[in-house]
Amino acid sequence: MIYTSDSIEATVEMFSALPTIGRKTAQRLTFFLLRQPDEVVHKFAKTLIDLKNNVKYCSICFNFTESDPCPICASTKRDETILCVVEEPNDVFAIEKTNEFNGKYHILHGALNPLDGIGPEEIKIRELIQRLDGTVKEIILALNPNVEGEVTTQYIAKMVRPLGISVTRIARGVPIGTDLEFADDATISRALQGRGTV
Amino acid sequence: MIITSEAIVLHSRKYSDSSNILTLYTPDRGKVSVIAKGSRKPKSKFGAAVMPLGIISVTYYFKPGRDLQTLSNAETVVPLRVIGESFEHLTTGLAIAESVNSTTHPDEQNAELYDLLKQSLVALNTAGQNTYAYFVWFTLRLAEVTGFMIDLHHCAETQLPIVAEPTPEYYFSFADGSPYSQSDSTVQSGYRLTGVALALLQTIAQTGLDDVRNIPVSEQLRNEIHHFFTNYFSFHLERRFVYRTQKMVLGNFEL
Ligand SMILES: [Zn+2]
Repeated sequence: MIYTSDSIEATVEMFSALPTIGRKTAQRLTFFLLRQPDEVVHKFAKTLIDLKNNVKYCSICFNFTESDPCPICASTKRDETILCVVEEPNDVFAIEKTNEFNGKYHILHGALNPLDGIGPEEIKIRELIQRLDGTVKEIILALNPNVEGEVTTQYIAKMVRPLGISVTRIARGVPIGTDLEFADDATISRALQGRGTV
Repeated sequence: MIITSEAIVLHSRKYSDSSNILTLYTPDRGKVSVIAKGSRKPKSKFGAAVMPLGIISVTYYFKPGRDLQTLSNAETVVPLRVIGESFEHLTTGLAIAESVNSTTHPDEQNAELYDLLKQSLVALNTAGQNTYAYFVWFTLRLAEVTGFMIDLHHCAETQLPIVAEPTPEYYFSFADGSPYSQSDSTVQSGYRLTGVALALLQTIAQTGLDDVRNIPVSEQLRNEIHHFFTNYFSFHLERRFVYRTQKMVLGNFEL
């Protein structure tokens, strides 16, 4: 053991399990917390517990929410004839930040990945098809520009086209092979405006 | 050592926050795993080149004895637009890539297999609707160049020629890579293959890559042939072999 305390060791372990956090940063965060007043650390712990207890999936769009349906699904000001389909809740934040889109969302929680055996049953595609009861007139696919995103785009287009719904995809302003969450607001805005038929 | 080579991307998986680990197939070194650092960031120098099915030119730092090499450059050599824009082409292409990935080991050089893979993907890119026949065509030749040759035209027991009749069924010997003829053989064991499936396999085996586009394969036969290959490779690889792409290629899922 390199630390003089099991609790320090355990906390460093927890932090280093988080994305982008290496062992050094984990150690720095742990010592930072140790130096904070008790109430700050209690509040921090409670915030995390509340996060897990209170945040659920919206039963309509499968975004994270504390109220079901989520504020976007519940809003009467948003255009319910246009549905933007994304892979992850992160992508909704990226698109919302641009103020470019006033429709509703559907979050797939992943993408089809034939090479790893991820099929339509493993993501929220069935739930998407079930939402298409006549209100939705256009589906905008805003999936990551990689093979998984492409297979998913083609698959959804194939399923949805016979229902007479127009299927568009965001323009290729987002470079191929990259993750949508890394793209800047201006790029996403342009990609939304320049969407084309699949 | 810095190596520059042509390569085909067989598989890609996300690694850390913005990178990918790629499995490449190369003519001189067979299967090589490389890390493409930062490949998921918009300003990445690798761009689209590092996606599965990419036929690319790569430069990487090679250290013998290492499982993972470091990619320094990648550029597309042959763009495959059609494959990239159709569900059937993509899933068939991925099934072909998966077949190579799961029937080969790292550092097993096989230039013939590289050429076969490249040719097949380039041809698939020009295919119309009948994409599945390309998978069959490729798999029959894959078996040949990896040493598990399938000879559909001669009896496993008597070596006499077989022209498949639609009915009834044939028995197939995995060990011999051939079916038993119905009339001359007393053998009543082996893998059961319908006459229609055997006839189709024979046709595809005799067809040149340029004419595969004209061979449609029904859903039922796709299922039968896929299971036949699964069992054939399981037998020869001496482990349970399953195509992970199977579900998507055959459309076997409930919505
Ligand atoms: Zn919602």
